[in-house]
Amino acid sequence: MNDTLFNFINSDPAPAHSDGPLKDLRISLHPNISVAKWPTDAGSAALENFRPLEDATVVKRLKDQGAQLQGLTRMGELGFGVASDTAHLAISQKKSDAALVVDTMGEARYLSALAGAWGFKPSYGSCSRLGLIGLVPSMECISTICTSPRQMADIFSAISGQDANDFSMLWDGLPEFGEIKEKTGQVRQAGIIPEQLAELDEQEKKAFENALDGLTQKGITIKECSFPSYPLFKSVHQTAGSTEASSAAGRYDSVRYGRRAKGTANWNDMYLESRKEMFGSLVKSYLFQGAYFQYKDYDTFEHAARLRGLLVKQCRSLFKDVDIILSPARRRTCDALQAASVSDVYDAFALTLPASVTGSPAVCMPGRVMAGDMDLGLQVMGPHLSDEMLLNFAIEMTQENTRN
Amino acid sequence: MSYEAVIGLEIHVQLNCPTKLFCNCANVATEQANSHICPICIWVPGAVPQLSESALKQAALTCLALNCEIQEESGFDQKVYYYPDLPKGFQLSQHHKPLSRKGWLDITGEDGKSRRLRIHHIHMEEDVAKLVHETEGQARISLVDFNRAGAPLVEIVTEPDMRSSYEAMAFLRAVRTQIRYAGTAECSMESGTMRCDANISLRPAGSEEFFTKVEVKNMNSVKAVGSAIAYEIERQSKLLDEGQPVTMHTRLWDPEKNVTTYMRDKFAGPCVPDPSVPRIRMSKAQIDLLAERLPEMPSVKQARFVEQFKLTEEEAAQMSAERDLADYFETLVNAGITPHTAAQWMAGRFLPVLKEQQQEIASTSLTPDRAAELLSMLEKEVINAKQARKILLLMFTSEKTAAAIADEKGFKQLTDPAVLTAILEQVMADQPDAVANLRSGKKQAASFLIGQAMQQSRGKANPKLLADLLENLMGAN
Repeated sequence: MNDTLFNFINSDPAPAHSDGPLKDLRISLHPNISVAKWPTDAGSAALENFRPLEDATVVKRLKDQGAQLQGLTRMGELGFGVASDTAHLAISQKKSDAALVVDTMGEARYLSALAGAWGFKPSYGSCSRLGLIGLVPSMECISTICTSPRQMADIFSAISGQDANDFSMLWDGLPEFGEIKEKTGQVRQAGIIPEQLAELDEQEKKAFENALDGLTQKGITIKECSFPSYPLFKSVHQTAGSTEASSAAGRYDSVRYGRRAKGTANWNDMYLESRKEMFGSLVKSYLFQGAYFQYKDYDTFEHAARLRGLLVKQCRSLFKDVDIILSPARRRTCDALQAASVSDVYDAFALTLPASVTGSPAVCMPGRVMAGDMDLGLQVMGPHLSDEMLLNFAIEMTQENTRN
Repeated sequence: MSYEAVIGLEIHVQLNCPTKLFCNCANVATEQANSHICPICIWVPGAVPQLSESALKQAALTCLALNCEIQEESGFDQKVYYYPDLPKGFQLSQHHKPLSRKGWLDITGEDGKSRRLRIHHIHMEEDVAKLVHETEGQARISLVDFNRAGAPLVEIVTEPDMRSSYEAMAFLRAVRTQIRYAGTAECSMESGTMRCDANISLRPAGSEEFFTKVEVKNMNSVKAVGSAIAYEIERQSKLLDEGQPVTMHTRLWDPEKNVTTYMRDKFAGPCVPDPSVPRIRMSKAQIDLLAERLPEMPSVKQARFVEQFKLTEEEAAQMSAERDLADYFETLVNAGITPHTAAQWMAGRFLPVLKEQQQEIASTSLTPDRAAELLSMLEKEVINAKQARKILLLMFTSEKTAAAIADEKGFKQLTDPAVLTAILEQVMADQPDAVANLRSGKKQAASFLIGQAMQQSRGKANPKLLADLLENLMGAN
């Protein structure tokens, strides 16, 4: 069963436990988050006919808390970009209350801005990746698009936290979303990165400044934080991300699932021909870029990994002076839905890459950075593991006149 | 032209571990295909590897047994290759950050001198699935059995320190001994729990350069490794003499034809760190704690056997070669058997019979306590060596004590001087020529006469006593 928004509709979304804290919450999922027996194809012929044996940890937890899992939306192939994604439409057309999506370069934040909704990407390592069919394992986080910040806290309270079966999670210091108390006044200083803002056009700048004015009126101090290495985020993400993707996508061989080329003479040909047929051109170019680093220029990958470490450190020191860093979530002129090349995709996500590269949490707030009637989203990035603070801040900002 | 061989080995060892490396499936060889598998070891999309702590400890212990330095931090990489035995398109292996580096083992070279051979590093990796090739009607099909997929392995990569097939075989045996001592792996090349690839290149004798190497695979015994290397040295020498180039590639050892044949060009897939497997950090305290689990290792034991039991170097080496063997030996000595006798008997009598009986020393029906009684009877000359040999065989097939068997078979040694003298006198009367020869100084005539007397006694006489009595008799005449 499917329609234009959903790739798969769950005919029986009523959960076994209907009195949990997520009771009646209608949630749609990206088709790269495993639900047992659902056609989880990650938007790619490479996973044609693949049906997971087990639920992802986050899915188990959503079910336990009483959420209604509606089905699978459409998504960009293997989660690279958002071309043909419909998660945001499910929210803006009020078909779903929340969407669970995988954020690797800023997808959740970008799509929430598109939907005029709230978006949240947690700290890397705070939410189980078991059952996530990913492409760039060191960046991707299960994230959400929601209609209110309170919902984001409720959903993450349900799905985050230690998973004994995902050894790649952090061992301690995990955020306690259940403890969110709508505390106010945790955020006083907000930083903006001039190197980042320099890329914006006049209309975007103006829209962003308006949003900053709104925050200043709420008692937040805005501070310029120079980040000379800022331009590196894009190349670091692209180099590390494409390399990881090329290695991770090695599993798509058409043997047990995925589209298989017909009439091949032996298994080597079967691999080659099937891989030629199963990937779309955008993912293919991304995988080729990664394969180049893997096979021909590993030094550059290592260099990118070192620079990534450096960016994490520099980002940490920015947060010594400010509590959060603000920027729009997306550009006015770069349409990720139409992105046809790898560089188009990176241009569209330029503003959201820093949180993905550094594993930092980030919230996208609607209705604040308005370029005409276009919502660019206000992205609020916090230091690693400051998830509670960010969500408290988001809740605070929805309440009028909380500070002077 | 005279060449020198430069040989390095890559040795895969399957660890003794209850589970696989990244999941809780049982790590056992089973006939029933695909009976020990789960979403992780068949690599269903969305699966996350769960590194086994016990496999890590077994691997670390193996490294310590081979004198390697455990690295403060190690990690797993995705080693890419596409083949049906590896459904996720990469093998989890430690390419960039191996578990340990800089190890060594001493071997005794062909010249009898000790040589230290270095280990470059040891890394952990998962085994891949097993392909079974069959035909279905006219069609050739390949089936995949995942029971082995994800089994914990270590790969021992040596420095190119070996110069002959002899040294390579000695090194392999030394590795096997060390690891079996540590108890972390079975190390049987025959059953595939130890596999060895050899990299061989030649260079003009005395040169320090490294020439193009060739990799040889598919040897299923230590001896086959030696034969394959010897063959490869010969083959490459011929090529070089004829002025032909040696190209880098991989060859297969054919144990039936005793030749190596071209398999494929050398392939090394790229390796990217896997973010889903946490980095491994081991503190010095953790390593020290592990090291305490290592038993007394062979070289230390060998030195102690020389020092404490006055064994010769050769005897001590033999008795310390395997942990079970050394334990057996020490039980005999503790039961009062002279160390030299125990060592000689074990090497010369017991081990060959054990092999014939297809028993293992750790589980043999001839326990060291029972053997000690037999040896004690021999040492006290209650029975002679020939009788002891017969009793030894009988002890494998019955649970009776050595004394009971000796009684049953009438194997009491003849030690009555009067009876022995009577036998000797009869033999001397029957063999006047031999007696004359003995008188004229031909010592071997004495052995002949004693042998005749032993025969007369149907093997029961005490040969030492016979010799003394013969001397007396000769002196008296």
